[in-house]
Amino acid sequence: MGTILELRDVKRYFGIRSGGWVGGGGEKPLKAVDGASFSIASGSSFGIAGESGSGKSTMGKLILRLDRPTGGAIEFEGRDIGKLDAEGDAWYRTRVQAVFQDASGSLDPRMRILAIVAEPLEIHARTGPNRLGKAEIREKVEDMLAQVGLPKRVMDNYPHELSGGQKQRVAIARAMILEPTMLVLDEPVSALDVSIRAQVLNLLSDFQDRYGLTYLMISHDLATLGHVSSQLAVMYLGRIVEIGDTEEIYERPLHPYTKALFRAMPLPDPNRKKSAPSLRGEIGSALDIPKGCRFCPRCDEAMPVCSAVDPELVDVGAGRQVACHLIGGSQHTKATHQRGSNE
Amino acid sequence: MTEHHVDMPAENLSAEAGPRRAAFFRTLGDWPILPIILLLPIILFGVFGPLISPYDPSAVNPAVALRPPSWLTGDGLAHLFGTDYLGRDVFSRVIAGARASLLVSFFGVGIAGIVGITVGLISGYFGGWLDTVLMRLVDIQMSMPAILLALLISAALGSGLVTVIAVIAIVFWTNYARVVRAETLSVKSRDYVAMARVLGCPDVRLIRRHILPNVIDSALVVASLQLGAAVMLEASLSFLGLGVQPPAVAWGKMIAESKLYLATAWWLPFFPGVALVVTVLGTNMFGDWLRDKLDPRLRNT
Repeated sequence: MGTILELRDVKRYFGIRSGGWVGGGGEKPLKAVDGASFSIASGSSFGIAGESGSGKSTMGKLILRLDRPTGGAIEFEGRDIGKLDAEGDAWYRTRVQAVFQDASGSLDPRMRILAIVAEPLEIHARTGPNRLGKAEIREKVEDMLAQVGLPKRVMDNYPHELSGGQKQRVAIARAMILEPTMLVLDEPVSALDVSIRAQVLNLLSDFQDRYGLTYLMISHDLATLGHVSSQLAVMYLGRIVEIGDTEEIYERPLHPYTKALFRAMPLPDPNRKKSAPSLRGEIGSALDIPKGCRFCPRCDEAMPVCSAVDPELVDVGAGRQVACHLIGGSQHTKATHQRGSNE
Repeated sequence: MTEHHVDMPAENLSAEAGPRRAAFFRTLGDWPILPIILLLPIILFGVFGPLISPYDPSAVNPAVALRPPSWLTGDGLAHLFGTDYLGRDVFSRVIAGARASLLVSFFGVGIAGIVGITVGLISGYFGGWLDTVLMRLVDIQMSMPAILLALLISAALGSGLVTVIAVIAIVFWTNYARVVRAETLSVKSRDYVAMARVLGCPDVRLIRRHILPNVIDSALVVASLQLGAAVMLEASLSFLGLGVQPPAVAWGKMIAESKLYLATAWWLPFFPGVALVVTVLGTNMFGDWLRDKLDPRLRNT
């Protein structure tokens, strides 16, 4: 299976003015995404995990071309999406679609469901050689709604007349109607009742089986990501700190931050003892990233080197990469490595 | 005995009518009854004026000059609102004035709305230097007193109906621009706009299909509140002699002409004044009702 999406050292800095306003004011960047590289295999599910403020949603926006990276490159099916012309943009829009967290917010309250689901077709299939007529569009919408498990009659409803789960199904129908190859799912089930979540996740996985879709799922919820994704990247303060096979990360998390996230995960086990406090403090500010390792101020296993040197992502075998001095293979951290793993 | 017998059906009737009447008033509660009562005669006057009016509004008849309202002197319905210094029927003139007021305020507010909504949408949606330029223009416009502006414009265009409409449009578009821009900024950040971008929706379509329908409510409320202000401005301009020219009639002009007779013929300023107050009150109350009605937080309950 080939690579469908590749990110190479992608950065997104936001300029924030600080200091005097009569000239001389320096610009201090907010580093929302600070050098992210990964690739997603065609037909797979890739998960991005992280707290609020980790930069995972900015990453989604960059991939959806709602925002432009300040550095690095994003390649989709071999084309640099930063250098698309109008025709290229239209192509990209039909290939990559999205489902957002808040279904009520992502459906225009003034449009009926028919118009909402038909809109991608109206934008992309009303002109050119394979243009569709009104009746054909209606037929396609009906078919799509049936595929997401909604009755025909909702076409004439407004979004506020539907339940949360139904709205999210409408959003999925809209995303699927152009038969894209990749879906960006930004917290697709976080806002739903737990009882509805499984249904929506099953629907998504049916679609993946049926159409060979690639999913990029962004979530703070490790349990959801564990069910859905085959590859997982854990983000902290704009940087990927651990990336690899989801199952392996679940079995043996290596980065202290990943470990802490798993400790913080609620498990349905009454005998489980509450382990040491999972995470101290809050995620740092992307405006003032700590020197050295950015997780260092909250890390239980921090060493002197951690507050001095920023660890690189290092290959630890089986496609897993970790950015931590405890695990790292670099010469600099070799000496302290022993102590770390003896714990 | 007989009394009791007579009362029975009456009681039954009211008991039966009670809930039905309550239901009737509940559905009425949805409608802006008071604004309708206030505005309906004005609108009828404006539309069917010549059919209703008992006299030609500009017909001079010195024999009956400065007569008080006829029902006060026992003359029946001859001159309901009295006559002015030339013996013209005040009632007919109030009816004729409604047409000028309605024409001017609807067209003035309408043109202002089209311009202001367009500017607000462009300014809010595209942002950047365009936004800065347009909003500074609004600021400059708003810092100029309306009357002064009106003087300038009528000096340039000459006074008349078209001038008044132009003045109202130029004075009022800024309110729309500001309100619509603010709404556009808020709507622009919603997920469904981001989603439309992901779908590859072109800017023009995005503004027309997704932003305009979601900001139009506020613009409608502004419009309804401004109708009253436009009627007032028209009256002020006519009062100053910058408005419609004779033989056309306007309420403001009638009030202005009555200046000399304030002490002796109160009905001359009183009836056009009441018409003015009723119109402004009616449109303002309608605007309030519309605002409550269109508020999405209230609408979906």
